[in-house]
Amino acid sequence: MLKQISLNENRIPEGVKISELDFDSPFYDGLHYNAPARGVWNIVHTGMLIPEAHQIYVCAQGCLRGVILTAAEMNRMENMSWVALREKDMWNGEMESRVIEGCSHIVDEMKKHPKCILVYLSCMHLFEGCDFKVIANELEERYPDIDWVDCYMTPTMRKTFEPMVMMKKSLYSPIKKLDTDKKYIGLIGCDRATDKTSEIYSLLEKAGCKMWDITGCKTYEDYMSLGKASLLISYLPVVYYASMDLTKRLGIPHLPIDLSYDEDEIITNLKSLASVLELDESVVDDLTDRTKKEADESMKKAFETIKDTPVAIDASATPRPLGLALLLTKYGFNVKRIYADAFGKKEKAAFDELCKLNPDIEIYPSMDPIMLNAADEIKIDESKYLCIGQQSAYFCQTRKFVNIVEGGGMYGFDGIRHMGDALLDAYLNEKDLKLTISYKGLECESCL
Amino acid sequence: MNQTARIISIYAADTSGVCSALYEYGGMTVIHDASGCNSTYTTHDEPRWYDKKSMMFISGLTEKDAVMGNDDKFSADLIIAAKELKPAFIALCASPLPAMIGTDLDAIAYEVESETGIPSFAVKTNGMNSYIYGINNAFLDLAKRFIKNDMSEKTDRLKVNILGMTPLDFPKKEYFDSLKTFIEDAGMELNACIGMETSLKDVERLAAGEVSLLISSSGILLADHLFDEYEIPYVKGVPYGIGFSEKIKGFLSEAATNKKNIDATERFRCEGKVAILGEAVLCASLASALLLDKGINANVLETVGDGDLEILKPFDMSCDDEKILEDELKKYDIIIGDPLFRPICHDKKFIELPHEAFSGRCFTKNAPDIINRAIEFI
Repeated sequence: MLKQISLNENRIPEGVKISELDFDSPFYDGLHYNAPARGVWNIVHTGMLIPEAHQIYVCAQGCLRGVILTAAEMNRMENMSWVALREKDMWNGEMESRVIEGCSHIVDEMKKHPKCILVYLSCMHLFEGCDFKVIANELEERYPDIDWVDCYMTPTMRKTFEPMVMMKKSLYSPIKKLDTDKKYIGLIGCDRATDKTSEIYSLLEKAGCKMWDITGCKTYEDYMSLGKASLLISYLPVVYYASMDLTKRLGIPHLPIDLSYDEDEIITNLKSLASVLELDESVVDDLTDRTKKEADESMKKAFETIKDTPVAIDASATPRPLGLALLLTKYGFNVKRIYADAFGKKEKAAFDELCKLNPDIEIYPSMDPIMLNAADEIKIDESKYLCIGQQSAYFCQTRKFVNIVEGGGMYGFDGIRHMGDALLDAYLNEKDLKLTISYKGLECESCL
Repeated sequence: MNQTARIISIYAADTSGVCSALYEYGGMTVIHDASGCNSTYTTHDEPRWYDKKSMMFISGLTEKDAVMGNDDKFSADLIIAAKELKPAFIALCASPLPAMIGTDLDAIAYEVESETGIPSFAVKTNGMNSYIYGINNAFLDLAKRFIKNDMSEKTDRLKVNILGMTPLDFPKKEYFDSLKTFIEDAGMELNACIGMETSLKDVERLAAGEVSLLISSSGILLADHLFDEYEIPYVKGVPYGIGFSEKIKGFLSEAATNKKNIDATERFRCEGKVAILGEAVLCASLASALLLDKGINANVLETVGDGDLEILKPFDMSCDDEKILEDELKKYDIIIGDPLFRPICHDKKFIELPHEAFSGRCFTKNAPDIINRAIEFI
């Protein structure tokens, strides 16, 4: 049953106990509030990962504003252009030609053609039934030296295909099939680099393989070299649609090795990877004997200092907030709160176990309108919370927080070790909350 | 090409304008939108968002709602939130898709008001107009709802309304402080400031003002409404610099006495080789201030493509097209404008004057306060 979160007598939102929540539909989806935590990446940040590429957005002024200023704050206006849609464009039947002529004008104004242009269409195109094939064919004919990529800024479709899911598909769509290099493995779906100490890298090294990661691509050629990969791996759920497309188009098999905080799942995933890399299972056992011990030591060391400090986690920090909460609970941490509007299906086991182990954990949505009042509950100088993620840090008004989004590049037992270290560091070294969470796109360059 | 830009930014849209205008009045403002309008507004167009709470939300429109016309859910969600949060009023505005499918926001507002008893209204937007359009409509709708006619209190000093003040043109509180000081130094009294450092009480007592100071294009509909309905004249211009500020003081008294609107910039403009880019009233005021304080002749290149174009002189220009603007700028020796215009100014001397409505929070920290004080950046 959907929960309607409410305010208490002091007009502060009241959390809902995890044991009283419906896993599939935890909260009523009404009006949306937007907390001032800006670290999560958007489609502009992700599109900028393609080296030597340019982005053109074709949409209404209100939609353009956010993406253009994202690029401005990144100091990347050189890579950003726009075509504004006006009211008359909705009725004059010229949606396609507006895109074609607008993009052509922009390209003609450039001193040098980029190797790739991402053209973002909007909800307006979608609802007008705009024919992107016509647009793509015409632009490819006019500018055959440019790879044209159709991208979509269609948040109206978010219940079917989230904009970031669509973006991940577009992100790899210029990749063409090359001669396969059996020792070349593509890691897809990550916007930020994965820790080089993770077991993924260790296994690849043992197999004599090289990793392709978009965050390490300096040139368009580097980027296109994904086409020679013999295997695609991913650990973030947002990439599932892109992986299906890549496998279908290029015939490269995909192995999901989901980010997890569960020991058995981590080992299963690493053994799957080892298997396709033609490594013996004992390699994984040997490796994880060490990394698991290090993870255990790191978590215990963190707990020795942090003790019963209340901990809060939010879904912007990791796609598995429940899994992380369960791990921390098992180590004795005082996990009090989780901020999440919904849960991924693969969190069900962690949910069920948390309901037994820690049934009083309070779950809060992050977008419900009454979360506007959440930051009033605790004064920043009095907050005792240690948080994982920017949103929970804001809601709990704490300077002690692990500043990560989307898993933070931490994976496997090595990732758990990093998490333990990060928790201790966050506890001991306070951050400027307002400043830290104001930067848009964590780890991107910023003019602020 | 019209509606296209290779490298420059774009101005804030009407939906952000509505939210910005209504921010401080204790109402609940909801953009009927899927997603994006809220984060764009609260990140780039609203410097108050972190430190000053306000009920600004979006509806979370989905494809199913759009296709099936599920207005009942929107009404229900508004009622749920209103009953919990108890806003002073509810304002609705539309992003492009509701505008495209013809959602009747007036009807929804009527239904919500009937159900909750909370004053509710729709402000005209479609996400495709400038912030000036949205602010103007919002201020006018707010005033029509809340102005009271019996708020006049006797005072010896001239009572001045400040109109057209939002963070999109005046992003820091110090601008308000400077304007208040300016009015008080002139021996006058601030009756109401609409948009910033304000509350519904200010709107209620607007009619008690004797003259309005219109400091941006964003307050012009309200200024005209006050003049038409309550015979409150206005003086158009921002008191920038020393000389121009002095002139405005005189104009405020003159307008109140003669019950006539005055364009303060009208007699203090000369054609020159300096270009000022941006919003019409702010730019024309700066041009007048430069002429009076420094003897500099400057032309205005109005770049929003919206607002009070009547303030422009024949040698000025209104242009929201990047290519035409780039060519036009070749005629000038010095260009004053937001830093995000710099890439189309090539080797010209460029003086940065950040404008929140164009570059958001990128350069806010560098925006100077030149209200009623010497201009030092040129």
